[in-house]
Amino acid sequence: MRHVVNFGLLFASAAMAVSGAMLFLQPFSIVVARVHILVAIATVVLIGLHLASRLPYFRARAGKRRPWGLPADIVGALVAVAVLIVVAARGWRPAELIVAQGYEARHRAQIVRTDPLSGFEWGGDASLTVARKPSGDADLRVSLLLKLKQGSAPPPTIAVWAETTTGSMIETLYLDPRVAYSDNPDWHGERVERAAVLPIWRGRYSLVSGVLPGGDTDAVSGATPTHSFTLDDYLVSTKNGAIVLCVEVNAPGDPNDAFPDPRLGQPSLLYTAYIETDSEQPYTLLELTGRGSGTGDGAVFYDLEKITSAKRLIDLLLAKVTLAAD
Amino acid sequence: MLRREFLRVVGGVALTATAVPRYSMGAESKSGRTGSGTGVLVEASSFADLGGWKLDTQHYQQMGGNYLLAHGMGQPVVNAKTTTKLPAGGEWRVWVRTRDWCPGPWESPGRFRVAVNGKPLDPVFGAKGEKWHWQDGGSVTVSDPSELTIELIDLTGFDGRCDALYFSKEESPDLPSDDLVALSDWKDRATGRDAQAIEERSFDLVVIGGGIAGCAAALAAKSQGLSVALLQDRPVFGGNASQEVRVHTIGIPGKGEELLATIDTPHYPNGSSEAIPAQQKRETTLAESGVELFPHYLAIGLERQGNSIASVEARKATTGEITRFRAPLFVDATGDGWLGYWGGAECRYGRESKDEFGEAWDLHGDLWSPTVADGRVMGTSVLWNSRRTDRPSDFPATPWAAPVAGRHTATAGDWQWEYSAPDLNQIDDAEQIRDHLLRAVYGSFANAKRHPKNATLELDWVAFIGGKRESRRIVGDYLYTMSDMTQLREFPDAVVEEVREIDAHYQIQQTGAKVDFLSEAIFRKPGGKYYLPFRCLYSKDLENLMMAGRCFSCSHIGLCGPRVMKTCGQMGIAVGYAAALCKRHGATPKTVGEHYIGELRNLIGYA
Repeated sequence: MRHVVNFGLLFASAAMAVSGAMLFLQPFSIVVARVHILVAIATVVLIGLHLASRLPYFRARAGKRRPWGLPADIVGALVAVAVLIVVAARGWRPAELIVAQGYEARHRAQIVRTDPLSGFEWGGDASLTVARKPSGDADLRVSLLLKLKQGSAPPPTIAVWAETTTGSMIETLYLDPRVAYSDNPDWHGERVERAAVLPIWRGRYSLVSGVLPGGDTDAVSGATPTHSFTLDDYLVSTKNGAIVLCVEVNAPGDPNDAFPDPRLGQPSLLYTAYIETDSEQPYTLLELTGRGSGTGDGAVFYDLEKITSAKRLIDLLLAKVTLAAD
Repeated sequence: MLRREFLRVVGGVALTATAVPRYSMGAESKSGRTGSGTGVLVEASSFADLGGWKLDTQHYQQMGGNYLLAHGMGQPVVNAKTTTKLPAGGEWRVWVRTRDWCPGPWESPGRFRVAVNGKPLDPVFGAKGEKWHWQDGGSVTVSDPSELTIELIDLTGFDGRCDALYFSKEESPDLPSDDLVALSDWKDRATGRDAQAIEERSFDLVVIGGGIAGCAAALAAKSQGLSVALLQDRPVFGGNASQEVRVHTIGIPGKGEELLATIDTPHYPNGSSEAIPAQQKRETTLAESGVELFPHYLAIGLERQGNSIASVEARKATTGEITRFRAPLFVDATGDGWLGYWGGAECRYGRESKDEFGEAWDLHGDLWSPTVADGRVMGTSVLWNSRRTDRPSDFPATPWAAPVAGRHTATAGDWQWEYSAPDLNQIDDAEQIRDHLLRAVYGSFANAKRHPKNATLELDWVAFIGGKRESRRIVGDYLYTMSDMTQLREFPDAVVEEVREIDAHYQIQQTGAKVDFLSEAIFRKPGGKYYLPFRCLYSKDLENLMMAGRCFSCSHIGLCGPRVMKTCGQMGIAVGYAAALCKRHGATPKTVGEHYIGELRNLIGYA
């Protein structure tokens, strides 16, 4: 048993160290995160077993008290760990320098996290539900149901966002985690520019964030000064508000005669709904509007004649706006 | 609300009839004739180059002119231009007859400017005054009075309108506008038309109205050797089937298939540009027929002698010239029953009570036939459509359309785009009805353009000529009603046949819809073929007047079945052949019906 614990600890800690390094240095990957979490649990269990086998030692060492308290080596270890915790918590050097070498710190601008008021859930029937709760004076809840055609494999990459009626992004409500952490994510086994996968969303995002697909900051263009970057301002039932709900969808490896690139295949498709927030009709279907270009400049192209299988990815796209109290 | 006024030009005919022979209004403005004191009148209809402006002749009887319309569907149209002469140089005051067709708390949609010798006058026109009026344009200083260039500069593309310009040395000349008879007389004096003789033309038959019914009447009569004049107020023939309105022809051709096939349309989607080749076919047919064609001629009055019409006067839309058409027989194919109305014949308008002719249908109640007679009729349509392009485009804001369109969104309009209201008359309020539909179209399209999916849509075509379904009907010896269709009544003098449903329209607002410019149809199947007797096709009061088209003798419900164009074309064929028999036998339409109906039916094809 001792050898199992020892070697298990060796392998598990090595796996945890490698996966931890990957998480630290590379864009977030759900696969790596899963590995890291599981080997970390295994490591904790093995450490527990290992420590349990050393209980007599701990008892003996702790029992040799000096007149002034615990032995110096125990106190020293305790203080060292405490200092480590304080340094990390306070962000003092070298903790700050070490953390600054992490992927998140180095690529903060590329990482997109939706507002905590937004949530999503994948259903078993290949359906994605995205919902945005109101806060403050807002009282309307926006939700979106996206149903993929059964058998759409691999699943397409999806972004959901709300825009003003003049085309400025207000909020990203959902972004596929596979592309949320990098502008050059691993997309179904290959490094692909996010701006090529979801070019329309990326273009709109650049305008409001000022972060260009390459990571540079755009200090020139941007939303109008009167633009509001919170959807709450639009989710007020007593206002005659209107928003445009957008969904961009792109499936990998779906080339056709017009779009032969084996990785990207057919371009992303944009679906939209014009939603008047005070409408008596709570439901609005999103309709196919255009396609992306792969340039990431947000341009929408309207020639859809040469799009073939990509048009058949979506079974249903339905938006709903209701009073949050309902 | 703008109220209409009526122009009865009948009285004006006697005045012009005594004029001396010197006649030309289009050239008039160029020659600088000053027909009224110190002023020079330039009618918009006489502009040498219309640019992108349309000559609108639909509302002459309601506003006293043929005006230019900047129908650019939201894009300012190319300038209209002309030249004129003034009798002297120096400072001239300018007035422009126009109106703000959509006043309200917004920038008026029909704004335009007027440039004289390349310099725009200060005022913006079409931005105030809902009624047609003379807007003060300030003054211009003219150094060379021998040639003055005038331009109409559209600012919006949203149907600005100009009837005329007047140059005067007077500070405040007396310019008539509200009194349309006075306006008509004044225009004739100002242009010198009052001093010119009327050209007189004589024919065996004069057909007024060049829709499908009028065309069929003229062609049928001509085929029997009659000399025929066919007058149409628009530059093209076909009426609702023309490329200006674009309704496809439906109904059955009856015995007139061969003739109607030369002037009808394919069953294209209403509003389709397929109306254009159909127009070319129709124009070719008419041009080769030997019928004397008078496109762009507006009937303005008639001379009645006893119980007959002696002559009909018509103005050429572009010049204002009056021609008098004499004939022993006339066909009223105007749709609005103008000849019957001017001639004092009994006419009907609106819906009869359900009890008057037993036309109740309990299933639909008042929507079908009212308990008390009212002024509702089926409405006018403005058909329209848009096209998808390869690049996004903006559509101008149309706040002035929102009160009509509301939140309705649309990218095309078929027959359901129809407007009628109980307090609006399809003849007297035609401009208001058309404009209401234009607001509905532009507002609904602007709403649709807000959706990103419509970013690349552009308006392709919007009719500016209203397609009427129902208006004034002239009463004949027989009044056609619902039971004639539901009982499949056969007549010894049957000359027209049809099988289509009785198809009555109502505004969906009557059943709770928010918008008032869309209609719905109620269909009642007659269960077989029904027939129209010849007695519906001539006036009981004017012995030499026949009717073809929607102004035939019928009740409101009686119209709902046979009102479509191929059926109306059959009516035209019947009266065209009847005219030939009138000449052959020296008979009136009534006596043809009484004594020669077998011969008439034979000619039509009822062996």
